[in-house]
Amino acid sequence: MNQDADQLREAFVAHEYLAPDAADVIVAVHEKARRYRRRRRAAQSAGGAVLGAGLVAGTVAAPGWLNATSTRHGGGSLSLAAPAPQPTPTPLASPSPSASPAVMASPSPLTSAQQDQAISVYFAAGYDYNDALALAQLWHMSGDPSTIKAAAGRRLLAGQTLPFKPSAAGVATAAEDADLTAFFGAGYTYEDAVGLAQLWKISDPYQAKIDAGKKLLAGETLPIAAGSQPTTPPSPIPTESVSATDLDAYFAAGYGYDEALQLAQLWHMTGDPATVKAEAGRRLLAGEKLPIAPISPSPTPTGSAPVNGPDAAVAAYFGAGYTYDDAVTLGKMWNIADTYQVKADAGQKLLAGQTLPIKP
Amino acid sequence: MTFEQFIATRLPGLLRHAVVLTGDRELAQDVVQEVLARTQVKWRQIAKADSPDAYVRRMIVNEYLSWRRSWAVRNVRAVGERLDAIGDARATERDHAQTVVDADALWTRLATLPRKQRAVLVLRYYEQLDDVAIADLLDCAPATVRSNASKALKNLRLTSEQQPRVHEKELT
Repeated sequence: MNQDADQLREAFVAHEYLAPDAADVIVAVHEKARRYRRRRRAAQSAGGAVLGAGLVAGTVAAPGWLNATSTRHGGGSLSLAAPAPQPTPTPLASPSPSASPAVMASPSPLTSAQQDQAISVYFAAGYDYNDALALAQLWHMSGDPSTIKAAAGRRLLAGQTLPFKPSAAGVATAAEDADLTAFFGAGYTYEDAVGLAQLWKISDPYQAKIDAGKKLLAGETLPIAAGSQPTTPPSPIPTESVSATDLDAYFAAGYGYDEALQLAQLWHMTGDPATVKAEAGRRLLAGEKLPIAPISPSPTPTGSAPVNGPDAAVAAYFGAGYTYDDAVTLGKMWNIADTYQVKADAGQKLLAGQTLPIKP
Repeated sequence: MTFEQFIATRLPGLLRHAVVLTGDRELAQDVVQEVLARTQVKWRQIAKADSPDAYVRRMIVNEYLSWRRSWAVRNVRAVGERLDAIGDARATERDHAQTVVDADALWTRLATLPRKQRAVLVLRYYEQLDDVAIADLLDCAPATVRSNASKALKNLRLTSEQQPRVHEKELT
């Protein structure tokens, strides 16, 4: 068994190098998150409208597309006034695969528009991704969570209730959603949020949207007009304001070109990396901490070996005779799950002349 | 901690975790991107967790286990490519340490396991979690974890026994 464990561990560790490039992932994550936020906003308006219409009518019946065997609607709109005759929906607390096979078994009997609308209703009711996972377990469904959300949304549209109330996380975001709705409802965009974040010295544009939404709801006006920011946000400081002092502070802190590229992505800055370096240097001089640690050593005229950065630290770690198993032990002591991070931290300590709590 | 700080410090580790879990570079990237995008949207709640890192790793495991889109097609293609690549590597780098060759061979065999069995092995031997913690993470009983691990190891050994015959053919 121990031999199995060792071999497996070696196989896993030996292929860590296949990990994708972090920079590519960061860009894609920001893009996806923007799409999800837009969808949440659409969910709020579309879902709220649909649920509101149902409440006003006094009765919400299952629309025709709830039953996969019935005629599907051509478009995405719902016919609440004249619903097709439907069998009584199965109670959700005890879903039975045979009781409502059209809803439960069919992975996606809807058009894309209908599925989006069902998902919109799901989010509008305060449910979130984690709730979808919980529902999947209750209903013994597997696969894409969006399918589960759509199934749940259809049930909500049919006037049914789900087996549990929205999770705490979903409820907690209701206030945020109101702020965001106010922000985007007033015609402001993500680029505006970036501009506001710069004005207000906030690193997270999302927080700027929340704060701006609060102000709008309180009847205040924002310092920039809606949609006034260009699609590609300008650098927060003009090129001519790049000062040698800022750059010196940046490089003196051990940062380099690679870090500037990462910072540019994090801060959504485009253009000359020198501008990013200057912005980072200005923040360092102001006593702020940058969102990333130095990963590359400052260039040295002699071309000597790296003296900082995680790779040098890991090299120091192994150079001192420590092993992967030691890193696992240290990780448990330091409560760090990532063994590479443990090696890097331990190596930094060794490079700083400190001793580790265990011997090699 | 802001989301940007979290990414800056944790992303490399999460990507290593994902690639070991999935065995596929592209799938690892897709899964991490999907999870982190949702994490960013919900960051204010996730940041309040005792360990956001553990929370996100849990999301990655769940996302991998529920990932369906093109997975089977991608996996079959990837395994084939990997076998070719390893074959090429064997031809040109026969003087490498035997452990490296063994690790490559085992990595290839791991790609043939069902996802849940692979996840159990990764969580047990790479993440060093005990069976109770794995059961909690996968939302199943510890006995199910042990069963999956046992089946996975058995599958790997069976494949391993078939390997020497393949190697002999390759050498001739």
